[in-house]
Amino acid sequence: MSMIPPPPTVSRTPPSRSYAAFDPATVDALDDAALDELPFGVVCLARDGLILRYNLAEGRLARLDPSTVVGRNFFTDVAPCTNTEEFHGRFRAFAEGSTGGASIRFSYVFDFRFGAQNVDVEIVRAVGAPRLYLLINRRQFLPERTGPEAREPAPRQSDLVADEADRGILRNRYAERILSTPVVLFELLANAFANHPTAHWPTIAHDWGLAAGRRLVIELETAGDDETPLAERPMRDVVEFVSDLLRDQGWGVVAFDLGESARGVLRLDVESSALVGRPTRHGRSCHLLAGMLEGVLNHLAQRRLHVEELSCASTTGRACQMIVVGESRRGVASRLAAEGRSFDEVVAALEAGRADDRTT
Amino acid sequence: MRSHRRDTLLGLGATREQPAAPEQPAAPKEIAWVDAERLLVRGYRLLDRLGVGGTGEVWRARHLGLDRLVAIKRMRSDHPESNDRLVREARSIARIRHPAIVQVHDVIVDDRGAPYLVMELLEGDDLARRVAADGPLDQDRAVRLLLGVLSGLEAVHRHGIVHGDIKPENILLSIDDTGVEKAVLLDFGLSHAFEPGAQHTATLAGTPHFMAPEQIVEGAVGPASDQWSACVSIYSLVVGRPPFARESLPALFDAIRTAALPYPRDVEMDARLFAILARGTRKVPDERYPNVHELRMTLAAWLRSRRPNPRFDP
Repeated sequence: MSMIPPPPTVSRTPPSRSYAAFDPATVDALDDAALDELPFGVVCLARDGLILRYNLAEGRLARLDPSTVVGRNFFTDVAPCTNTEEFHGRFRAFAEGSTGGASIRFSYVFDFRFGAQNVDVEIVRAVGAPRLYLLINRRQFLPERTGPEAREPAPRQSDLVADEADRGILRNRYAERILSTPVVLFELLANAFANHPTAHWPTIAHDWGLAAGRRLVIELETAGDDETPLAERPMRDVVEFVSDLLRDQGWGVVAFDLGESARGVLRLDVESSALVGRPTRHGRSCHLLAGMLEGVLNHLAQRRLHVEELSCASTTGRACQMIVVGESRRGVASRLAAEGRSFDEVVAALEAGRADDRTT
Repeated sequence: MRSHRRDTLLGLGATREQPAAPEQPAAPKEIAWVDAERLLVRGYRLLDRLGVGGTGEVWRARHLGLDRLVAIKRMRSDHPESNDRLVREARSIARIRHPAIVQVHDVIVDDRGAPYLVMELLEGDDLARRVAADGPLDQDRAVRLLLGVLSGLEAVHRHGIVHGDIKPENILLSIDDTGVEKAVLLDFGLSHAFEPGAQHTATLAGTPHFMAPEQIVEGAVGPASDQWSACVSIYSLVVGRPPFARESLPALFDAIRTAALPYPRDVEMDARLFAILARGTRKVPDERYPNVHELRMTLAAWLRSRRPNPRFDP
């Protein structure tokens, strides 16, 4: 499944990548995993333009594999459209110190073979080290520019690494990497899931899903026409938006029931989940999806939540049911789910626990 | 009258007077290849064991005829085919004369077909131990040391052999007769013969942190795999840790296959050196330098550029 929605054929405006909670001056202190969590592009350059670090969001938006571009020259090899006085000249002047201040900002247009992108760029110095960071915020996706204003577009991944197809790498017409997956693979996975459940399998599947959910957030924030970050939009609009995207990507229909939100819980009903093919020994099989939704909901709520599958369509014949609780109530929710409690019973037990806490 | 028979205790053709074998010999039993008290191996006296590694164990020994100290390595392999291959390749390595390649003087095969390599005895610490004791190496020094090793590796590749296990632990820091520090490449226990352009598969062997993606995915090794491992070794020497360190083996293999070479922010690494290592560790072998010679030339040029330009000043 591709996490990347097809690029637009007409211009659209992605939501503003507001990094109000992010201090650009501290970007050098972030390790690679933390850089990959950021929803906007980050490129670390040596003064001569050699790429030292390249985060996942930039890789996705430029459709280039970070492992392929590190060590190359940003201005000449990876983004030749920036090899202009307007961009490279500013970078050089800032790197040499002839432009004062801790950072500079400007707007620019990136040219790719799959379209142009209006971006806001902030260049930041690493403290005490001879390297600089480009923080790249996409403002608008446009069709490919072909007129005199167009600059040399960035290379495709297949231009940087030739003969990809010979090495078993396939891409769609948007230059996104794809995998032709035989149905038998899913059969095998389903068998493994159904017949060989281990004590760790739910945890592993949940963690996989969580990692996928964190990456899905990047796509969610960059899809659609609303400029407002997801976390700042009305909750009902957001869950509808998320639900639509999950449906379009083949995950089934995820319905968010916000009726119990005042009690600190949400209910999720999942119909036609791709993960539910047959009953499993432990009666639940959507740990992967639960993890993925947890990654998304953590981002929307801006705090740690936990998604627990309570009942599975494979055994009940009804939609899979999941409960969303705060991280502090994770242990209780997991225990009750393992006991086969219904949503109402879990909510009641959580309420009772909360009352006990207040009493003690 | 006493008869002589081959010394099955050592199994190496060394002769010692033994009582005649009984007509009905006892069932063979597992015998250590060396008995600590009688340390003769076809003209060599074993003195002490220097170490045990993944591919065998090494002893300090004295050549009785020349009164010269040597190292003798017994390869740990139970497969006749592997033993035959090791002998062939040991013979190939023995033809290589290079100051950065440990010299092989002799190959001995015992009655059971197990090979023993008689090698030049080198004194010194391996680079992994040196870094563990003294901390990471200055980047110029690390590259200077590895330039010699890469030169040796070129010679190895020219003879159609892939080392297969390049890592700091297999590079000995020694002082030559002129008092100059030099690095010597050891342990060809995982080496393979190769033919240019051919795919070579082997069982998964090597040290995980230094293995190239193609070694992990396909078990395929070639000169480009040695190039990868050499670049990861340089990185490790300068940074003090391998680039793709992870907590579990699956995570490590995943990082080697997919993660970008991480730029180390806690030690000084020149961006141009990082770029050289990034190219030497591209995931696809064809995207690396065409050969180790090109890598060495590029590193040498980088090192030259670091030296102050001497000024003519009569």
